[in-house]
Amino acid sequence: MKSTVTNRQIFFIIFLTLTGYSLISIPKDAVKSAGTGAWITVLLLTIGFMFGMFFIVSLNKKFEGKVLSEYSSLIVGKIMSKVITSIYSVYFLIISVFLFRAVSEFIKYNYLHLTPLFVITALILFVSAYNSYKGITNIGRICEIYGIIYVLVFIFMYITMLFLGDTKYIQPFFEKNEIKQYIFGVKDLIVPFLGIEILTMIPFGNVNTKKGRLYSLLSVLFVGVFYIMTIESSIAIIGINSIVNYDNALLEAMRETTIPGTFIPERIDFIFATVGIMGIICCLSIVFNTLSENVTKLLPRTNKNTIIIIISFVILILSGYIVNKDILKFLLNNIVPIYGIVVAFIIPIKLYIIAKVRKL
Amino acid sequence: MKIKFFIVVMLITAVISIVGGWDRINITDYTITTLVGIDKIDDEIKILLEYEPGHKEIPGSSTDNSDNISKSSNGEDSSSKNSNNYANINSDDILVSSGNSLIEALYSYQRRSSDDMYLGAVRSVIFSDNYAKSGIEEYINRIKGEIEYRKTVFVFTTNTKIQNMFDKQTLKTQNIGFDIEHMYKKLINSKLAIKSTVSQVLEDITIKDAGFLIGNFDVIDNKVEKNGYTIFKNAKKIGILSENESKGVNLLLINNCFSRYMIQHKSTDIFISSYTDKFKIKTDYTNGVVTFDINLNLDSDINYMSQMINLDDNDIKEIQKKISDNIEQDIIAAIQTSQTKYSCDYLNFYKYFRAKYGSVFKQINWEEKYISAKFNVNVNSKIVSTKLINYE
Repeated sequence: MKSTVTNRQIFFIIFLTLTGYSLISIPKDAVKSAGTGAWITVLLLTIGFMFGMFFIVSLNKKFEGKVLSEYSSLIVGKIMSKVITSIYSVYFLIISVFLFRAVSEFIKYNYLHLTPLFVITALILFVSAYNSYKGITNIGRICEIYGIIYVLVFIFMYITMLFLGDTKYIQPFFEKNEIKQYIFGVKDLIVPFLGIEILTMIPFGNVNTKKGRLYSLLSVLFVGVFYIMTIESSIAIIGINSIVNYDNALLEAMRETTIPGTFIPERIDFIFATVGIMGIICCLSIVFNTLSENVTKLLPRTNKNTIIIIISFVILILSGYIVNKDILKFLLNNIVPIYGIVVAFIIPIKLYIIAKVRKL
Repeated sequence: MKIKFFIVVMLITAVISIVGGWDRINITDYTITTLVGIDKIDDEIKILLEYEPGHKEIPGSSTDNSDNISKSSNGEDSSSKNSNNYANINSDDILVSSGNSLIEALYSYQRRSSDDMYLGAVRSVIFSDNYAKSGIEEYINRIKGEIEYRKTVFVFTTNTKIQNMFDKQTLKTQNIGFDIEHMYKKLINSKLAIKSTVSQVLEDITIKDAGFLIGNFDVIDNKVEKNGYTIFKNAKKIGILSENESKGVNLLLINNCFSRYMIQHKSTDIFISSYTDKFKIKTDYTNGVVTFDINLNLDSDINYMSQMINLDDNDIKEIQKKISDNIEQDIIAAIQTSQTKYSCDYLNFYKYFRAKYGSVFKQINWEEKYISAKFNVNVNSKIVSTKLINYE
């Protein structure tokens, strides 16, 4: 069964994978690294990741209907291809463990204080595993529907927050003395933009060849704009100095927002409990699917369903019992940014160059 | 086969996690707190709680002193562990706990009550004069850390003895926490009071060079009344602004502020209500001197006169000028009080400065700069309506 997705689905798959979890913590990270000029940093990163995205989608376009683990064997041979696939598998395993742990903690400490972490992890894991079992086509359809709701609701909310908040907090927008800080802030904000590499495991079909590249690049651009809106509206509500104390800055800002006297409910933080977590589940399903696809390509003789079940339990044990706060922090600060750049930039660019040289 | 296995696993997980109510706690097992009061007497911290539903038997709550009208407790022996002596509160719905520190006081609560506290329903938190002077940052941070507390909870101070504030029978009210919250929300909606929530204080507290204001409630003639603002600097109370002094403060801090003025004109008193239409503050920083240009445009209505007289265009112009002068005086008085009397920027002018000179703000000592800052105040008031009464 060839699994393909339409252009619009690609747009929302990328959008939800990038924003799904990062949305919660990006206001704090951005303010910490670049202050009120964080939008410049985010914009720089957007351009950088659009550049990386260009190579991945060009490869996908060149080798129509194939994913990275398949066309890499055409470009660099079978053994190197296995090595590359295992690099990606380990990367996505780390990301999955990190994401499932982080999301479970987020749900536990914000909504279900008394529920054991393990139960929350198991619940979201089985949902993701089931989505993954159904394949990328179905995930794409879910993302398309959820994505539209997600975008509309959140943009409405951001505009409300900007109106109700204090715009004095988000100024000055630009200062000449701080340019250095804006540029060096880039290194702290790489993680929220990681996620473009999931496209290496989504094959381009006939429908994607013409406009797939454009949609993917537009998606990254839109993510950048969405992030800027998130950051600015959260700062406007919470304030530039106390926002650095919150890991869940966006949720905290939503809790403090009350819409006065309208037909809409006064408190808007229920939006995150519904639409926000919906987006997170989409993000987790996509990452899980990418991981299982990678492992399936690595072990071609094993049944996909067996692999999904085994991976579920590995993630459950790793994120539920073995990974603790220190390991999570170490992963997030030291491993993920570098590893992410390798899989999102270096490997696709190298493959692209080799393919060009060998005139494939 | 495998699909079936998957579905069974999913179903079992779903059932277990949804039904899982084996360790549930009923909401009635909690003490639902609606108002928290913090007092400090000789290094001993007292926490007063008002809870709903009232008249619930809680060991330690005062029961035998229903006829004792509250007396002064300042001269009382602070080492006394029995807090019934402290409050002499006329109600069964108040719980008092005490200790050397906040933590101790909370432990003492837990030792004395059968139920845990539920803080999600707290409407407002009140600090006594003594506690506010010793610094409120600890409690504000507790509210931030406590997962149940909402950060939109109102915080207030009081100058009256805090046990009078909690005295429901004398105040003749069902629930003081809700009363105060409604009262203050009404004032905010009618543009007569500034915001005074925990989230606001949490942000203001981070700027050590500047101060902030929170609302003040007193008991006057057996009734709770909003009475000016309390000035905080470094999270410690340094003074209080009366209602009269806070007129200028309101004009500076509230969007579309509403104010009433009485103008004397040709042997009659004219009563005027005005709304802020446009409010702009421009700031400049040259040669180490901070300058603020405040431009305020107001729309005013003539409500009524004490004696009806005819007004022509010149009269209207004169009245407009008088209103503008009055408002200008109020604003200048508010700024001067903050600059000279308290030497503290509780009027949040630093926000305007920081919005323009972000990196400069980090380097300078704002307190020094603020005291020597120059202000140019320019007020324009226009009479837009006479409420359908023809004075010509």
